[in-house]
Amino acid sequence: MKKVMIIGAGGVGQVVAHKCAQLPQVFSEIVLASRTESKCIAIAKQINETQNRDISTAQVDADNVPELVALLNVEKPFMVINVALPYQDLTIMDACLEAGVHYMDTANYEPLDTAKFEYHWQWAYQEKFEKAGLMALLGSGFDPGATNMFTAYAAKHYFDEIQYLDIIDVNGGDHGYPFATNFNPEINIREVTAECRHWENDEFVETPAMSTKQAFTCPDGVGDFNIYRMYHEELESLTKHYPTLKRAQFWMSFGDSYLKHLEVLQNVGMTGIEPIDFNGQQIVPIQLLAALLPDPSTLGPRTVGKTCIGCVVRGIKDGKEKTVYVYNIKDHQDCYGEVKSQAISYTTGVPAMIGAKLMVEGKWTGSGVFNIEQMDPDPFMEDMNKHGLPFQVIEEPGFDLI
Amino acid sequence: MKKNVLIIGAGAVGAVVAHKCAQSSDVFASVCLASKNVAKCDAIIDSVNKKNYQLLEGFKFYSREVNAYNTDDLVTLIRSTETQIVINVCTAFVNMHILDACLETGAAYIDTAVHEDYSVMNAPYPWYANYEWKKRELCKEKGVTAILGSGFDPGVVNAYCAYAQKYEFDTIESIDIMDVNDGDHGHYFSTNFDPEINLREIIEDAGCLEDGQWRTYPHHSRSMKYDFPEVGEHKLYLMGHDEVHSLSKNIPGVETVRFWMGFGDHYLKCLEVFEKVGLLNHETVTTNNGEKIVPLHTLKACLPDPASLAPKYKGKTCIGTLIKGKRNGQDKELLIYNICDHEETFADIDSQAIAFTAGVPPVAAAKLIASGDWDLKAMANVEELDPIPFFERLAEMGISTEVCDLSADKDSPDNRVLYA
Repeated sequence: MKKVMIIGAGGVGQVVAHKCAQLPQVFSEIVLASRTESKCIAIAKQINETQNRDISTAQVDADNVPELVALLNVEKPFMVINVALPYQDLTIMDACLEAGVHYMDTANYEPLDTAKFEYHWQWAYQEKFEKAGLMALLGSGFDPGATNMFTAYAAKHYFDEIQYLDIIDVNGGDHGYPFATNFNPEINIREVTAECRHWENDEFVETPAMSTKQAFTCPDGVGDFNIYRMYHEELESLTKHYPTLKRAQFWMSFGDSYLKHLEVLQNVGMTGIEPIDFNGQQIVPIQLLAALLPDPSTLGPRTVGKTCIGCVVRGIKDGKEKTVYVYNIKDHQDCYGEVKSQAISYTTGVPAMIGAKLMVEGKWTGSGVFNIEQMDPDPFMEDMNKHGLPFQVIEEPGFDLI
Repeated sequence: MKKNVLIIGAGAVGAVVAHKCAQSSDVFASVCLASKNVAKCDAIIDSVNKKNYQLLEGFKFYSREVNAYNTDDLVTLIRSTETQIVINVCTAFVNMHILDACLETGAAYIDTAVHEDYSVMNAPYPWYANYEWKKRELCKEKGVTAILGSGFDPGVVNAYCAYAQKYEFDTIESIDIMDVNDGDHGHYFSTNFDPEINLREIIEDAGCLEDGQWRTYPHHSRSMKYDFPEVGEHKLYLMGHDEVHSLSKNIPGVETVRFWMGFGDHYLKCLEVFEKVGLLNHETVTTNNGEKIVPLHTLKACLPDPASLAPKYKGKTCIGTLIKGKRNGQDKELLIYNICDHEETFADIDSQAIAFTAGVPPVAAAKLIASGDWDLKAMANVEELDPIPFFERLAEMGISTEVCDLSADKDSPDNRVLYA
């Protein structure tokens, strides 16, 4: 039984807080901290109403190391679960080192001015964490996170050597709006406009954004989707930790209407972040757009359909080639019913809770900075089944993927 | 006596009017170009000066700043410039202020679009009865000439109807005005004139007169294909437009008056996104940091300035009126139309064809007021006036009139140039 501090009170923070609160025998005390404490208080109130359990809240600026250290020294948690903005990973890691607290996050550090999705900034902390005898667990969300574990689980139990990896992230949810984004529209737009990278023959190969797509039929009647190849951060750590991979690709589904809206809005300049002038008034287009689009936090109650995220792994077992698909399907409305959140936040928040649980329970230990696939996948997979994200395995799924 | 002209509005159409007035220094003694943004006026005057038109001695061409929402300012401007003819090519929200100033000073008034109230979408029909026609008696009483809707559409297309009624038909049954731009400006998306006016009008209900009844349809819900001379087949969508609201009253016996505009699939895709996201909203919204912003204004600021399209514009416009009726007891069907080439208008006066076709006709009207042909000392829509001298002035300035007789054989129509 340990005390944890969750930093970040957005959609994911809300799920992590709900899920941790469901396990008092693991998380004896929970502190939820954010720049805006009122958001933490609102989540604490929800948890009190649904679970009759109290968690505490705090105000903290995650960009400010001394402020973080001061809070950690007062609260003395076993670890921090960082679900704040990716820009804040390094300040929170610095604070954990100074306060002697373990660290875990769900997304890699990004500098404010460039969308790089690279681990080297965080890997550089290896020696510091090692010397301090502290553990930093990176990327314990769904993707990265569960997808890394699915890969590790397949490699451990089904293969002698894994050679080809296709991570496929399908969101079959429908919120009924002509256009809305699940996160900040700016981040969504960066995602689909970033150059694609995939691993092939010992190097990352760059191709234009959204230039490669294929049709994919999800299992269990989730539906047919167009999936687009794009870069995702787990490709960097998985290809490092599984050097036998000849090719690793990440695919995400996008609806035609979503892409149409993004294309038009971006091309006319409505997603711009620089002020433009209208008769002397300075207007930042993206800020107007954010005001016009539905608030992402209101999508939960109206989103129906399922997410289907999994890994297609191809490799060698006993000298023979084989393919295994490990995946999870999650219903948006089930998530909303349980933690008042849609599946996108739910599927990120539950693996975050599980990663923290395994650290608290001492099932995952170590000194230094670790990507999640360096840990034993078995207890993680077992907890996925127990805590709302049960996984399935199909051997030889017969997908005809490019 | 040569006349002093005041042009109000320094957008893409204002530039055309300015150039064409400058090319007409035999008719006009002076031209004042006024706008709330005098720098835009001066830029247009610079572009005119670079063109080396043969300006007659004594011709004056200058700029003034004016707030066209202020009738008193307008009265002062008209008086201080000794203006006899005002050409209003400003935003349609200011028409009544300018008309009032003309009524007060006795200057003649010309505009190219019906007055709009900023807060009202889908104004009651007929649109002209909401504002302009209420001043009809007063114009007559004061002997003030006011020519409404004297651009291309409305304007020249109304004159096509007057011509048809006078010379070609015994009775007119239906009028379909069709406007296509077969040109390409090379931008991802742009409107061809003020996006604030253009994007508002195309999402209004499509109102038309059919079988003697006013009917409305959701925008872009009715379409047809038409095979035009020179520019070929285009898909057209029913849309509300000014001229429907005067032709329905002024062409005796007409049962059907409709306006159709060509839209490409890409344009409609963009329009759908703008509309669904709420960018066409003309009312203020508040952003997360408390700023008050009008979405349509932001979109306008993002889109290309229509006046900047001209240098790269390629292709042609075709705007015409398809008229069906009877002559000597027989069915008759005529398409009266104009073809205008973006590159040719750019070579002439640095403008694209859409601004050109909208800006030349009010100058033709000003010339006809100056010559007395259209100086009727009363208010009129263009179809109430003699079309022949109008066609002649248009032809002199680069807008031809052609007629295609479709009565006998639609596959090999009888095509003739009326004025060129």
